[in-house]
Amino acid sequence: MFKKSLIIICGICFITNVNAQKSNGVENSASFTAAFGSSFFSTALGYEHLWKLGKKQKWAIGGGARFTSYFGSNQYYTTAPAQLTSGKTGPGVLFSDDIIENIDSVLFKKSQVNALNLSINFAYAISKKITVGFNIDAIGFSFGAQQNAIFYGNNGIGFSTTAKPTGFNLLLVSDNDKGSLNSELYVRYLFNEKWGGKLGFQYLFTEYTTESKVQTTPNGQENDRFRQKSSGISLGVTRLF
Amino acid sequence: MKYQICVPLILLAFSFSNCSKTDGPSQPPSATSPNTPVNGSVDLSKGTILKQGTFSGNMSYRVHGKVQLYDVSGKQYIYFEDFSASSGPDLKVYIATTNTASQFVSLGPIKSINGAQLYEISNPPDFNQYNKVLIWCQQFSVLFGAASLQ
Repeated sequence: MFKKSLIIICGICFITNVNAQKSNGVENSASFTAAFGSSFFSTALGYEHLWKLGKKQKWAIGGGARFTSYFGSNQYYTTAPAQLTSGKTGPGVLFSDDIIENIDSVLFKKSQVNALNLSINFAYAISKKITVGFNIDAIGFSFGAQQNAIFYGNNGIGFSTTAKPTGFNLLLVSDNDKGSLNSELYVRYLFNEKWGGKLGFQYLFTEYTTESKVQTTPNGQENDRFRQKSSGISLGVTRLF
Repeated sequence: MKYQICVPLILLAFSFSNCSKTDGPSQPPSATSPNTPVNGSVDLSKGTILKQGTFSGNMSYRVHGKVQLYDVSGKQYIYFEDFSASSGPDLKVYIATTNTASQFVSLGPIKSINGAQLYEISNPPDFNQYNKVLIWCQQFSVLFGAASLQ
């Protein structure tokens, strides 16, 4: 599945790049971003292809690909599936409270997740030099080494376990999301025609799957997926093509 | 055109939402430990001592005192006597099978790093296997001290 996803992502990048070279009103760029937060840092290498919209071409929408590497220390990952955290799936999870008794946690002394995802990208050019934008990962895959962890149940029972990054990533709605997905709200300033700097806010989900279904909820549902939601300031550099 | 600026913001909100939700019950609590004695209200003179042991510190951490496993009217309690420990972040009391906390029952945050204190065991394990009492820094997975129940 990893190979298939990689081929699809590379294919889309190639197609969008070729199209960009043929037409006006497009913008191709690559960015390298680093983000920092409490007990983590992450790096992201991304490529995006934007189509400029409207007569003034201030608005732009497009897609891209992003490779994110996440490094955390002493972090708690909590129960991930929406069915357990909210008791339901679908958009309704947005408006429901967490079911505390269903939320257990897994503590990782060290966490490291790599994710390659296709992204959805938006941008608005405030001026020739300044652009604000937003991007969010939509689908892809993750990989990383198996890590030692400690499971903490609500009932006080705990034990050692191991976990690996959840392999498949998919953007849905809120806790319905699967896997590791990155997003960024940023302001970009162009130093010249080709190079620019970015300052932004990153919000990143990373997810691990434990070696077995370590969690059993009070009503008997089992779970092996645990999620960490990280946010931090991001700094980056952009190269236009 | 104004509505267009809402698109990315709405996507952000809907896709990575619930920032305000709690991240579960096991988040690291405060970074300091209590330092005043805490005594339970259970009359231990009516109970029987099932097992007992003596704490010793791990590495440079200081943990002293006696620990006793009581049965009082069918309920089990862990009692610390003449207890003292180094201060540390996120200290918890575990009953475990080994000193590495590979399998354990957490009795919750340490009540005090000085003096007598009592912990009710709401989920009593098999004390023949779970025969260690650990003072464990949960946030950083570090053993401060342990006692073997015999």
